[in-house]
Amino acid sequence: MHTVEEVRDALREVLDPEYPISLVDLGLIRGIEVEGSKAYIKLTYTCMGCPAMDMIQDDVRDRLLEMEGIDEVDIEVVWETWSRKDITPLGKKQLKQVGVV
Amino acid sequence: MTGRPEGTDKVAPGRGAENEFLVESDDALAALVNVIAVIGDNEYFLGRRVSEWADAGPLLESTAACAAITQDKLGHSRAIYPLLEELPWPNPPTGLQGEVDRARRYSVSFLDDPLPSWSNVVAALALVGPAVNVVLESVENSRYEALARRAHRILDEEKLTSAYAESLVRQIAYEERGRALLQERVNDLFPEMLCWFGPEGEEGIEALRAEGLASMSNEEMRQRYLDRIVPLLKGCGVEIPVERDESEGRWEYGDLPWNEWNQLQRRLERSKATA
Repeated sequence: MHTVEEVRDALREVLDPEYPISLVDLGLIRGIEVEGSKAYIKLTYTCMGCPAMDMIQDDVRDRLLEMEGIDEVDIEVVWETWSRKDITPLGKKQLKQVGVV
Repeated sequence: MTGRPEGTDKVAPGRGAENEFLVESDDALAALVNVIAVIGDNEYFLGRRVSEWADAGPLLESTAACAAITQDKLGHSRAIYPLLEELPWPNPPTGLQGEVDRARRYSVSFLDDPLPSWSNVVAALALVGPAVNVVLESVENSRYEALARRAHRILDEEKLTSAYAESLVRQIAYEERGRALLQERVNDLFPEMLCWFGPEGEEGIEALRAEGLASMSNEEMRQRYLDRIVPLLKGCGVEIPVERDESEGRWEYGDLPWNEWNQLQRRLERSKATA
């Protein structure tokens, strides 16, 4: 069975559709659990009007299903508030590199 | 379930909660479904009406703001509507993605048609937006966690829109002509917004409170709304037919047009001739 950290590392490869920053570094991943071959992901968005919601969920699901031993992905949108403070230091550095302060 | 309008089968941006939420009282459940439809439709139609000004605001910045507010409001409705499907209620209203997806609207009549002038836009943002926010505050700590979480998030996003709407009121009311136009819109919309919170002791609202699904009574919501909008409007020289009774600590607003009030859809039944 995969660990939570292994799943998180896989999600570090899933980029936000708008900017070259991972969903983990953008602060959108709010919970990860693994039970056998099923991964449970809690997700929020930068805003409720985010036009890429379906795309982000599809990307999360597709990446985790690539992991050997993960057969099912459950995504729950928890609608927790999001602000710039939720971006990791690495994420802020990456955003600065593409001109987003 | 049958009769779902085409194109409304995927409004849910991910599931909200897996466990079925149970409400003992049918009255409370019916009121909960109603309040969700009312929040969703008012967010939807406010977003839609503002979107029609996203290329036509009086300034470049107000035009851009309309686009941003549209994205927020439509996003709020998309987050709220899926709850109608989660609740164990037969044949609930469907979520809207298009203006004519369903015949019955749960939004205020002021938003029925495209807003014909900028003063209508300002009035809608200044009077409808805060009313929806008061209801969201009433359900922010609801026992129905899926709704509470969304209400909390919407209110967080609404801080910017509320501040912007206040600035629009100050801008348009700064000069006499703009103030007169806003006054006309307020005269038209204000009675509907006062009715919008329902008559005192409304059964559905009381059932929601008894079940821990909402915190405020009809009158508490109406007074909170007046607390929020009257000082701004009066401060800008807009006349509002209310008086503060300091001894009672409440606003007095006289008789409301309950004979025109549609309680299910929470809207005034206006005749087209006077709209």
